Amino acid sequence: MLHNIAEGFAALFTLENILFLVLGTLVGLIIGALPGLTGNMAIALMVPITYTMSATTGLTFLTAIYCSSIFGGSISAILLGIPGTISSFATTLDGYPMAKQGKAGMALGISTISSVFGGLFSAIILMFLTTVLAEFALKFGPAEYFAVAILGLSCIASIGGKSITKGLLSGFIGLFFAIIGQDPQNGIKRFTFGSIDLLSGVTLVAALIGIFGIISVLKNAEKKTKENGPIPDVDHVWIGWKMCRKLLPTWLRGSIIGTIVGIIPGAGTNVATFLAYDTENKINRTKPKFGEGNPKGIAAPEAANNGVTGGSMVPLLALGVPGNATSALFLGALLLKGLTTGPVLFSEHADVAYSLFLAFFFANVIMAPLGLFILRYMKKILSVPEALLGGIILAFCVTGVFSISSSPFDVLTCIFFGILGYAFYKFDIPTAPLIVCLVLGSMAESNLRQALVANKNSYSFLYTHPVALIVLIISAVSFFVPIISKAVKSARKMRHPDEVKASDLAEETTEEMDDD
Amino acid sequence: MKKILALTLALILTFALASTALADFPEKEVTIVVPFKAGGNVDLCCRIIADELTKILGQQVIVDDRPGGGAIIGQTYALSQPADGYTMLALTSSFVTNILSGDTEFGMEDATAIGQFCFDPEIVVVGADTGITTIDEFMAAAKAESLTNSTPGFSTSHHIASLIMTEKFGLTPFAYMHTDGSAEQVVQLAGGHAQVGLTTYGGAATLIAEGKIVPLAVCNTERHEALPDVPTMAECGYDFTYGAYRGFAVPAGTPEEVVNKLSAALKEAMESEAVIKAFNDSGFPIMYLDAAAYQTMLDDDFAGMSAIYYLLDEE
Repeated sequence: MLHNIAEGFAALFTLENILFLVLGTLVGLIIGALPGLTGNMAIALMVPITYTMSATTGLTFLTAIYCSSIFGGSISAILLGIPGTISSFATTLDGYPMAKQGKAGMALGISTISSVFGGLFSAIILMFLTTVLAEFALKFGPAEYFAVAILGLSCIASIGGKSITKGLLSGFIGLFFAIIGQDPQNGIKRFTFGSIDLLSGVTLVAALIGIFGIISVLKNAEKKTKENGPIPDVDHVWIGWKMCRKLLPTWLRGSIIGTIVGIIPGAGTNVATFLAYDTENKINRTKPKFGEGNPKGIAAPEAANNGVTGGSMVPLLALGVPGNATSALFLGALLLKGLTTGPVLFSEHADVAYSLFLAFFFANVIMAPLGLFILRYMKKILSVPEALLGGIILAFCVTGVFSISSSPFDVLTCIFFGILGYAFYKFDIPTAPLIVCLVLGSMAESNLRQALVANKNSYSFLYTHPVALIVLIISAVSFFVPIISKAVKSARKMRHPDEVKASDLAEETTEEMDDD
Repeated sequence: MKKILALTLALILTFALASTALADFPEKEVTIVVPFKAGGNVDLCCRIIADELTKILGQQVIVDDRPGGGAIIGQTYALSQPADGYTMLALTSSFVTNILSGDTEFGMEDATAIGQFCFDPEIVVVGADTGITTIDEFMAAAKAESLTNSTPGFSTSHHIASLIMTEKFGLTPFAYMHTDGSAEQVVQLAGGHAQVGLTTYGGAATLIAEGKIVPLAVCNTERHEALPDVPTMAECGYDFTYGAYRGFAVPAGTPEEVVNKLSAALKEAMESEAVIKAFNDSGFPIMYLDAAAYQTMLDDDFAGMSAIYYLLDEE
């Protein structure tokens, strides 16, 4: 093992590799930060370029892009309120409010260090536990996936804001949009109205950018308040040791959730961020509340989404099974180099395998200084007059969406969801449940259908698979507890209206206790 | 009046451009439209070939991924481009099945074949814990009861191959578990969540090497280079050939000289050392067919698929 790590070091530390490590990190940061442009896209474009490089250099380059693009997504999430990638959606919930309170530097600092923590955590797991964990991942079947998707969906009850009814309404509208497209099991076209563009469903990234980007432009145009005003100032970004100590438990939980979800093939970064955010939301006892700029609301999803990076490599390297779209691209790059994945990689190309592990490690390490360095100038790059900002955001959004697959229809999707989101805003309906359901709806559906096929159309798998059963019970708890606690609270308010008025503090305290 | 004038001008311009195009094609970059996601098998093949075609044609050859709509979006886009040879479509078996599905605005007559570069035969694989080790055992088991068959998606060539096999050998219809892509398909087999699948070699290579899934037979006339010990269906007494083919086509009406030039360039690329090595390393079997042979193959496939397409509708 130590010998292999030493060999990996020797292979990784050449001038060329370090150059590409830095270059890849920069590329990833910038691409991740631009709404619509994803790390996946960058890696897909770079795979053919790596063909002329040595295996180690190529993989190092791709690794650096992968890790830093996930982090980069949080920059626009915090500064503009538009997630640069879907995986930084949860970061907007607390990051943007925090930035608007004038603590943009702090928010970015938290996201940087949380990302690095999550990334390093998963890199270490990847290095030491790959072969053990891969076996566990294979045992995850459709029944278990379905349960995980339901767990992700269950958080809509707690992120829906003040009104449960409006939160659920938003969620159901999201589920409706998730069923558009061809039925995954029998090919029947649902709500496609004869359009080929809708056959594979609503393009997620386009919808998401519409909901965040277009709305912020419309809000800005509508009123001259400072609410969606200029990009917040980035002051000093170092968050201090005290904050680090405070966030450590959040980081650990986020990293563990991220790494585990990453290891399960096909579960994806998005579920991980929702789960991590919701977990922290439920156990949080500190002020301010989640959704109003709580540092933990940034730390949890950012540690989780970078935790996924290392985790998603586990099934790929150990079994040759890519866990998500990005690791599928890594598989392509490995194959182009004539390398096979699986145990053979470790026995025959230990230097390549271990230099890849180390690349994951160091990509996360240099991400912090490079990120902080870029952040200083980010503000300058984006410092345009307030009145022009809307137009610039719109241009970013539209070009970003168009670049997904050069499809004008995606741009229409983006505009449609922008208007839908604006209507939501007008009626004070939260958009977060809509997004969660849109992202996870089809995962829940196709895995349910697959599980039914595997079980000869019997629903018995819901209680015969222990993992699925446990996850489903947790989901039920996670879904109903916030609803019940809110109902109890409003009942109490009805009975003792004076008591509540008497002291806001008292109410806040009961609320925190109810959250348990 | 204005319209007629504009139309005449446009026509003159088109002819003028067309005649210069004929003179020494290509004069500008050539685009290969891939109707699938970047990083997939077809995309990878095309990017390898595009590099070599760039050297041969002396003009940049770029890959443009336009995924979605079961490949219909990219196919429609490519075939609606000017028929001048500057836009090629990466044409796979989905072209034929999409036309048969009735969802497309184009038909077989709208594409002219350039050539085929790859034929990836279907391999019958089962999960290791099924205990099945030969194709005969499999046939017996599949006749006795309905096995769970994982596919990379509804109406993919792998799904259709399974349907044809069921019909041909009188198997009990499979219970189909349609996943999203070949990676998910083989995981279901390796994890014991499904029993059988028809897949191509590339996506299953590692799990086969590890013994987590067992290849029973190759649906081709000859054995697979990477799996010399696995018999063909014919060797075991089952007449069944099926696979995923990949090639290029241009919009119908492209001048013959241009088609010939592209076809010759593809042949040269597929014989080059760089492409052969990259294809071997990635596990894509090279099988070149020239324009005429590929067109015949496509027409045959269309005829054959038309006859059995009702199976898919019955699903």
